[in-house]
Amino acid sequence: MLKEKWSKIRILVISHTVKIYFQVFSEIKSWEIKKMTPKKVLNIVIFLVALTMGIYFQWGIMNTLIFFVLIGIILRPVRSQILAFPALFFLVLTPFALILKFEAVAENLAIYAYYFLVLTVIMGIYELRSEKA
Amino acid sequence: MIKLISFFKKNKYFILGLAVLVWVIFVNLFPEGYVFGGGDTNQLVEAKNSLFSFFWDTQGRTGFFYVFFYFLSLAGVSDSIQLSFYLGYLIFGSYLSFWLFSKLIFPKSEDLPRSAVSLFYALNLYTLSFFTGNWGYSYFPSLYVFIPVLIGLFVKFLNSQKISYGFWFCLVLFLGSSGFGNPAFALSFALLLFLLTCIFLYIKKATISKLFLGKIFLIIVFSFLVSASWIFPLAPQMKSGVEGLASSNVIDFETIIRSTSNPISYIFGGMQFNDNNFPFNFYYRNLKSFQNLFILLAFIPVGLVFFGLVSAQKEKNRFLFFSFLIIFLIFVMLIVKVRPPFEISNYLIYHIWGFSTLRGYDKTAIYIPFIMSCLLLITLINIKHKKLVYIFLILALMVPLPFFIGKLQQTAGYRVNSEKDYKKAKMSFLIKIPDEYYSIRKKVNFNDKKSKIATLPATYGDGSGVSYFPKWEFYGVDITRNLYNKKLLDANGAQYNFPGWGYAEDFNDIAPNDESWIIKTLGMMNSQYIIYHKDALEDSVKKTLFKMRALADRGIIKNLEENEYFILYEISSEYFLPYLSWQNENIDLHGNVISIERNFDKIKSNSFGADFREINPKKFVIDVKDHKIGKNIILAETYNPLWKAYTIDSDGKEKEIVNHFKARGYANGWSVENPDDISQIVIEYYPIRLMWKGMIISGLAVLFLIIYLSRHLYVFFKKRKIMYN
Repeated sequence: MLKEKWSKIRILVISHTVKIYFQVFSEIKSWEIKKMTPKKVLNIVIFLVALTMGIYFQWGIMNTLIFFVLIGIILRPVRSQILAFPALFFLVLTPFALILKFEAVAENLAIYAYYFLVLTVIMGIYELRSEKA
Repeated sequence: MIKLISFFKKNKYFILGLAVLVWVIFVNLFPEGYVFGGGDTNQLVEAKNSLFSFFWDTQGRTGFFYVFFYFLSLAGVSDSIQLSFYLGYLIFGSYLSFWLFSKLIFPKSEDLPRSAVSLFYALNLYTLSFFTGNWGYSYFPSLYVFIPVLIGLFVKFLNSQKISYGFWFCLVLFLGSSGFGNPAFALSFALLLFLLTCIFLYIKKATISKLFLGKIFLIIVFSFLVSASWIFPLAPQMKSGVEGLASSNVIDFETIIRSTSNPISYIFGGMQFNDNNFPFNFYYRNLKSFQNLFILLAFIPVGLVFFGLVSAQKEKNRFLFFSFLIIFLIFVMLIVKVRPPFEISNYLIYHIWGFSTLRGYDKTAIYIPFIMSCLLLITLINIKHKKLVYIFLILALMVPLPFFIGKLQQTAGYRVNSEKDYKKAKMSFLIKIPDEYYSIRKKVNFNDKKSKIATLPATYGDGSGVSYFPKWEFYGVDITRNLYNKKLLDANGAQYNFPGWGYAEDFNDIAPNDESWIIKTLGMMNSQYIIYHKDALEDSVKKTLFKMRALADRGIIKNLEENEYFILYEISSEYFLPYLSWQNENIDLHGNVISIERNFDKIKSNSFGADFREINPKKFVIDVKDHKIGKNIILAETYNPLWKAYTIDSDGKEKEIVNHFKARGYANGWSVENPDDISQIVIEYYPIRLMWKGMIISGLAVLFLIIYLSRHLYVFFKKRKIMYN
C-alpha cells in the first residue's frame, strides 16, 4: 500500500516538475531571454534535471547535489583541483565522526569524499587527454 | 672506505629505514619453546620433517616460500626463532620491494621520501593485522612482498614498451608464485594489470600498434608458462570450486560477502572493519586515552594524497597519479562489496563467473597499501611544504604502534590482549606443544606400514575441522599432524574424511551395546593408531573415555602409552584394512553405525592387501602380474574424482580405468577388467601428474628467460663500458 502511495506521489511530483520546466522555459522565452546567458540557462536545466532524478530515485539532498555537479562538469568542465576541495573537506571530517562514534555519519562523509574523488579523477583524466591532444 | 662512506651518506635514510625494521624484529622476538598455531591454516612446524607433506598437500605451490624454513630447520634454528623470520621476510621484503619500485619508476626521487614511503608500505595497519592475527605466519601474504616490483616492471614495460622489462616481470612472477597459493589472488592481480593497461591506452601513454600488441601477447604467454607449475594442478579443482561458488544461492552469497565487506571510511583509514584489529582493538590499557588519536592519525596518508590533489596539480608524474587513483577507486568499490553505495553494482560484479572467488577481504584489500604508497610518494615528490608533510608522515608511521613497542603475539595478538599476556590468556596463538606428543614419534614414525592415525573424541569446533585442546590452550587445525609421518584423521574433520558422516560425534553421543563399530570404521579407513585426546573438552572425554577403556579391555585396541594429555592406542590387525587392497565384491556401505556393523565383516573377509610401491604420497604402483589380485582395487583415501587409476599392459601402454566408484562408503574404488593383460596398475592424484607437466613447462620458460635476460644484461653493460671508454 505504502509503495503504491509513494509511486503515485512520485508521479505527481514528476508531472509537476515537468510543468515547472515548461513554465520556466516559457518565462525565459517571453521574459528576459536577452538578458539570460546560455550559461545561466544551462545551469537551470542541469539543476532541474538533477532535482527530478533526485526526487524520482529518492537520492536525498547531498546525492542530488553531487549528481548536479557531475552533469555540470560534463557539460561545463572545471579544473580537477577545484573538485578536490570538497573531497578533502569531507575526508577531514570522517575520522572525527568515527571518533565521536557517529559511524553512519562517518560513512556518509566518506562516501561523499569518494564521490568527489571520482569527479576529480574524471576531470583529471579529461585534462590529461586534452593536454595530449 | 671513501666509497663506503659516500654510499652511507647518499643512502642514509634507506639505511635508517632498515635499522627501524631491525628494531621491529628485535622488540617482537617470540618466546623460546613456543610455536605458532591456531586458526584454519595448517602451520608448519619441524619444517625439516613436515615440508614434504606440505609440498604434496599443496601440490608444490608453496615450495618457494617454505624451502627457506626447511633450511633454517636443518640448520637447527628452532620453530620459535623461525617465527621472527616470517616477520622479517614480510617487512624487509616489502620495504626492499617498494624501494626497488620507486627506483624503477621515480629514479630521480630523493632518498628521504623513497625510504619513508617504503617504510610505510612495510609497516602499516594492514601488515600489522597479518602479525597480530594468524595470517602472517604462513605463505599467504607473500604476494604482498612482490606487488611493488611486479607492478613497477609492468609499468616500466608499458611506458617503454621494451620486452626486457616484460621478461623481468615474468621472471619475478615465477619467484613470487607462492603468493598465488590461493588462485583468487592471481585473478585480482590480473584484474589490476588489465585496468592499468586500459588506463595507459586510454590516456594515450601507450599507443596501440601491432608490435605493442604482440609484446603484450608474448608477456601473457610467458606469464602463463612460468605459472604453469601451479596453474596446471589447480585447474581441475578451480573449475569445480568456482562453479560451486557461482551456483551458491542468494542467501549464502549475501552472508559470505557481507561478512567480508569493509566500509569506505575504514578503507580510507587503512583499517579493517573488525574489532580484533588495532586501533579499534587497543591493546595498551595505560594508553587507552590515546586510542582516538591513533584513529585520527590513520587518516593522514589518505589526507596527504587528497591534499596533494588540491595543491600540486601541474607537477610531475600527474599521469601516474591519476592512473593509480582510478585503480584506488575501483578497488575501494570492490572491497566495499554489498555496502552502500555499491550494493547493486557489486552484487552484479561478484556474480560474474570467477569473481565470486574474490569474496574474501584480502583478495582485493591487499593492493590498497601499495596504491596508497604510490600516491603518497608522488605527493611527497611534488608537494611544496615538505617539512610539514614529513612531520605528518612520521606521525602516520607511528600508527601501527605494536610493531614498535611489541609484542605482536605475546600481548598484542588479538587472541590474548584481553588478558595482556599469552601465558595467562584463555587462548593464544603462541602455544607449547606438550613434549609427550614428540615422544611418541619413535613408536609411530618408525613403523613403515602405510597407515594413518585417527584422533578421538570429537571436541568443540566451528565445523571447519579445527580441534580444541583446552589443556594446552590450542584451537585450530591440529598442529601435531606435522610431528608424524602418517596422515592424521581428525575427529572434528570426520565429515570430510567420511563424507556425510560425523562418526566421531556419533561415538560421543550414541550408546549402542557394542562400541566396536568405531574401531571397525577407523580400521577400515586405514587407521593403525588412535590418539585419544584426554586434553580435549572435559565433556567429550567424560562421554567417551570409559568406552575406549572397555574396547582396550576386550583387546580390540592396545594401549601403547598413556599420559595426562592423551592415550596412544594401536588397532588390532583384525580390524585394520590396508591402504591399498583388493576387494572381490563391491559392498554397499553407508555412513552410519548399523551399516558398519552389518557390512564390516563382509568387507574384511572379501579384502586382502595389494602389493604396491609408493612413488610419492600421491602416486602408487601396484604389481599385478604373478600376484594374487581381486576384482576391485580400493584406495583408502576420501573419494575424489581426481584420483585416477591407469592400467599398464605388458607393452608399457597406459590406459585409464574408467569405472571409478565410491567404495566402502568413503573410499576410491576401481573395477579392474581383463587382469590377464595388465602388468601394473598406477594410482595417482591427477593434479600431481599435471604439476610435473607444469613444472617442466615453467622450468623451460624460466630457463629461456634467464638466458635472454643474461644476454641482455651482458650487451647492456658492454655498451655502457664502450660509452665510458
